Amino acid sequence: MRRIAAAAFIVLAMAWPSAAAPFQTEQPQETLVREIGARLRCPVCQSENILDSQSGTAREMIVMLREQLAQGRTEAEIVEYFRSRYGDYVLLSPPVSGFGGIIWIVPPILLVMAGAAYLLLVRRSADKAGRVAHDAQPHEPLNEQSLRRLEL
Amino acid sequence: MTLLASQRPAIPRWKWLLGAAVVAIPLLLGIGLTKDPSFIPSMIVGRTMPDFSLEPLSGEAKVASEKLLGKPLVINFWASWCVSCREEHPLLVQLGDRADLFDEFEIVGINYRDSPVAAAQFLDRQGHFPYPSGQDKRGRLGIDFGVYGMPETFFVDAQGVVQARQVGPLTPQAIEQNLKLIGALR
Repeated sequence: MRRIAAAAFIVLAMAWPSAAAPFQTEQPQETLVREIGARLRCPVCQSENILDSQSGTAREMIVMLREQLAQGRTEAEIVEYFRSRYGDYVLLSPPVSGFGGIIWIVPPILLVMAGAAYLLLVRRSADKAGRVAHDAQPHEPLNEQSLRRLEL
Repeated sequence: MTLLASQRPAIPRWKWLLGAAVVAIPLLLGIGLTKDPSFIPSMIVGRTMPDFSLEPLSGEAKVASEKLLGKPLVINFWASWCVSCREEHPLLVQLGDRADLFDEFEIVGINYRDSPVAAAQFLDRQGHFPYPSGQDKRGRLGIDFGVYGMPETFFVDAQGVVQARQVGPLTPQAIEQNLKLIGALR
């Protein structure tokens, strides 16, 4: 009986840590802070997001981000808040609509155009090759008459 | 000669296109290189300026936007840690005297991300502004104005609409031009 109790105790003791609540080292909203922070460009840096930047302005923007999330603002509202102050510049990836859309739309269009041009060129050269081959084929076998004509 | 020229085969169109691309792409890249990558186009020009009410650097009265309404307004963001602020400092002092003298416009300073002690030392050394400065210790007002460098100066008309923004030190030309823009010159 003692042994069983001891075994049960050991099993329980080993199971205890995993049964405990998972470690919580930060507020749940911090995930969202990081997500939004990674999308926003630090205005006083070059191509660095406000999450990575050590600048005072970026630090303050992160603080504002937290405050606004705590107030229940949505991600879109917060991004718009900073966009209305710093413009599209503050977005690390340009918006899909408006002028920024050009950056997204042009490369696929160029790719399709290049593909079409390539196909066209290939077909044209294949046509040419085909015509040459066709011309080279004699309509009738050489005979004495045609040889004469060639010799003049 | 003319016969020979006419005999030369026409250059195919795709070669023209390729040639144009070879010229155009480096040209566009070259133009891109001459641009300043840290320049941010202003969102605030053409908009109503954000409201503010800041602790003054010295004295008691708050530096508040509502007290400044109804007249053209110059807002100068400065800091003691900003080197090029020293460059425009004499011009700002002059501009402040002018605002006092002619009553055509208001001018106010915003001490941006600075400590009051350092700011006071800076003013003792460079000369005091004849107008008040509000403290924007954490730079929040700066974010509202879309400030990204020091110094920056905003020119606001009597209706409270921001008409111009000067990034970097002011020049006499910039001052005249922008004062005209906000109707501060008659």
